[in-house]
Formats: sequence, structure tokens, C-alpha cells
Amino acid sequence: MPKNNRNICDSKTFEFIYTTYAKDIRRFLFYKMQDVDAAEDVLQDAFVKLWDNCSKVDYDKVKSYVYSIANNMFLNIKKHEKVIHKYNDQHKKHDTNESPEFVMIEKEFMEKLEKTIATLPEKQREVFLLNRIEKKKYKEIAELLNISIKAVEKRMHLALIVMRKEIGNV
Amino acid sequence: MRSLKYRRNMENQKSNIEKDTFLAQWLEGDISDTELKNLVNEDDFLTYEKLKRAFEVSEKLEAPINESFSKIQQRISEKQNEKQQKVRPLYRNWTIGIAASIVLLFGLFSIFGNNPVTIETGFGDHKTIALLDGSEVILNSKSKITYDKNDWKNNRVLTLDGEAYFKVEKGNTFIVKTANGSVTVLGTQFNVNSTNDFFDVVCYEGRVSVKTNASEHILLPTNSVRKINGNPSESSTTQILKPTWIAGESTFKSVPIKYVISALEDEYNIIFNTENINSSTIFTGSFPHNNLNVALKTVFETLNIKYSEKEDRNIKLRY
Repeated sequence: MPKNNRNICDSKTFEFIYTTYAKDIRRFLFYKMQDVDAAEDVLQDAFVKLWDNCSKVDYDKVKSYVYSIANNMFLNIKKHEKVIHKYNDQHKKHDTNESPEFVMIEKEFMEKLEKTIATLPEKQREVFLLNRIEKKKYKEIAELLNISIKAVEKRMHLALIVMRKEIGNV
Repeated sequence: MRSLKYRRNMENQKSNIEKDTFLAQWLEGDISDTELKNLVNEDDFLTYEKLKRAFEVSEKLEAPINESFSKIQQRISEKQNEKQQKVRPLYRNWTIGIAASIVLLFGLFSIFGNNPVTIETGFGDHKTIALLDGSEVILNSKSKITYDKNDWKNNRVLTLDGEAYFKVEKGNTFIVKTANGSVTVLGTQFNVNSTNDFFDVVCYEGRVSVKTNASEHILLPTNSVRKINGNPSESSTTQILKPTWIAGESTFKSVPIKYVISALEDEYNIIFNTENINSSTIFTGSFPHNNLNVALKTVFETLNIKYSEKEDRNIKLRY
């Protein structure tokens, strides 16, 4: 980033700011909203707003500015949801919690999980990452590593047990 | 009843569930949540459930962000277009301008009755002027007329720089002087366009005499004469009963593109960079006065010229 290009209205600078902060802001919003798609929407709104005000924002303060916009937008949405919930609560049937559809994912949980994945035994981690990150089926992983599907499943199973132990009760 | 159904389910699935891999199978969707619940205790189940969701979320949170950046860019440009379209009609509503200028003009007459009168139009502006004898002048954008109000009764002479349409009441000779020549009439309707070195007169009614330093023409209705850049004048005919610019559209017939460009500049208050195109390309067609995008499209796309707005209101042309 050339030092002299600190004009946020410049489309290159704007894009640079976006690539620097967008992922973190999306995470930040997700932990508040618990919905990746909604977080994505607010992220976009926030950057459109930054562009609208690009001439008024100081480059040195752009990070806190975008975070504040994002946070305010989130609070507005919450405010609106409260109204909706208030209405819905009167009409809602309280079902049994046999299968909880909604599980809150906190920042701390995610960080703990990431740490745990990093400390998994090599063989388990390999299978886990191939399956979860590379989106490979057990069968493909088995072919790739030249082991049986059953062995892949065993490693995956163990990885989950390790994670469950490390993370403890939720 | 419930436990019976349960057992049956268990039996059906039994062959698939393996003690040392069931978590992997569950994660892949081969074993349902209900089945998992029977295999582990409540706390375990809740944790696994949460882990599963965390995997999905984490994947989405790590997903590339370029796509949403292009969405942002799209939204920004849509917004800008919207803004432009919202603003334009305001100052392009020239009927209000005409009405206002007529009112203003009568006011001017009563105050400065004895002075020579100059009436000018700005970018994209049109004015209708009622002269003392009932004749009417409609000024196109970036044009100017001057006349002596005092002597108007005896001497119907006005000077024009730019383009105007005249509806002249019968009476003694009515003369329009321009830098490119003069137009003399009795009572008639005609259009004069004298912009820089472009001179074009069209007669719509009656009889019009056009005198340039080089030649003299008598025009009958639908006749027109044109002189470009000191070249010999050419005559032609038109089927149009009234200049189209009065109705919010500029029409050109075999005109070098540079004059069309200068008309666009006057109408929309923009500047063109023409260094990369041949400015003597001949253009026939018209452009509207109320939509710059459409105007640019109709003029330049037909000539295969590309246009891009480099800076605000500065448009670069190239092939």
C-alpha cells in the first residue's frame, strides 16, 4: 500500500481496506448475529455506507469507523427483531427441545475449537481437514491416502471424540 | 408404542452403525440425530451437535470475500446511477424555465424599457421570448439574442449567437444577424443555428432570405441552407414541420460529428475529449435532451465510437 494513497474514495484504496478488514468484520458480525448470511449482508451495507462517506472519514480511523457502522447496523436489526419477536411470542407454540435447531456458536468456542484442531494427532487432523475444508468424501480420502474407508471413518470418529473431550460440556 | 417403533428403527439401522465410526457416519449424514442420541449421552450429543454447526460456520466464515466485494461495487454503481437520474429532471424541466423567463422578461421590459436587451440561455436551458410585435423566439441551449427594444417597431433586427426558432408576425422586414450571415424575412417561421463556424437555416413557413458573405439564398418552406466552416453553402429539404429541439430532441442530417458533440456539450454541460476520433465523421440522427445516457448511446454507438467518463462531466471518445 503506497503511503500517499490514503484517499478512501480512491477505488483501489477502498478495495484494499475491504480485503484487509472484511473477513474479520464478517466474523465479528457472525458472533453477534449467529447467521453467516445475515452477517454477509450487514458487511456489504457497512462498506456501501463507507463509500458514501468516503470523503469524510480519516484513513487512520477507517477500521474503527467500519466496525462502528457494522455494529450500529446490527443493533438496528436487533431492535427491529425484538418487535417481531414480541409479536411472535404471543403466537408461538413452545415445542419440546428434542432437537435443538439453534446452537449458539460463541467466539470463545470457535477459538477453542481451532486450537483443538491444530493439536489433533497428525493422522486425524489430515483426514479431518480433507473432509471439512477440502470437502472430500471419505471414499475420496481413502483413495488419496491409500487406506480403507473404514480407517478414514475411524480417524474421523476419533478426531471428534478428542474434540469433544477438549472442549468439554457446552 | 414409541419404544416399539424405536427398536424397529434400531434394528433397521443396526447393520450400518459401527461402534468405532458412528461419529464419522453421523457427520456425513448417514446416521440421523435421533440415532446418535441413542448412542451417546445428552451432554455428548449437545457438544457434537454444536461441533457440527461450528464446522459449517467456520467453513463459511473462511470463504473468500471477493464475491461480496463485487456485490458491493454493483450496489455502489447502481446507487450512483439512481442519483444521476434523480437529479437530472430537476434542472432539465425547461417548460418551467420558459414560463419563468417569460415572466422575468415582462418584468425586464417595464424596468429597462429603453436599453438593448440581451437574452441568454445556459447549458441544457431553453427560453421562449415574446417580442413586442407578437413574434416569438425560442432559444436553444447556450444561445444568445440581442436586440434594441427602443427601435423595435421600425427596425426588427436582432443578433443571434447559437440556435433559435423564430415565429415572426407579419410586418416590416425581420432580420436575424449572425456572425455567419444574416437572415431576412417578412412573416414566417424558421430556425437559425449559428454556432461557431456552423450555420444552418431552415424555413418552415413563408419565405426566408439568407445572406452570407459569399452567397444569397431564398428559402421556401421545408428548404434549408447550411454552411460549414467557410465551405460553400449547401441546400437541402426537410420533412419536419418544426425543429425537433423544441420538443426536447436535437436532430441532425449529415452533419460532421464535431457539431453534434458541441450541441451535446451545450445541452448537457459536459466536455468531450475528441483527440482520438475523426471529428469530421458525418452523423445523421437525433439525441434527446432529458437523458444523457440515451443521448450518448444514440449518437456514439451508431458511429462505433466508445465513450467513457474519465472525470466528472468529462467524456473521452475513442474507437
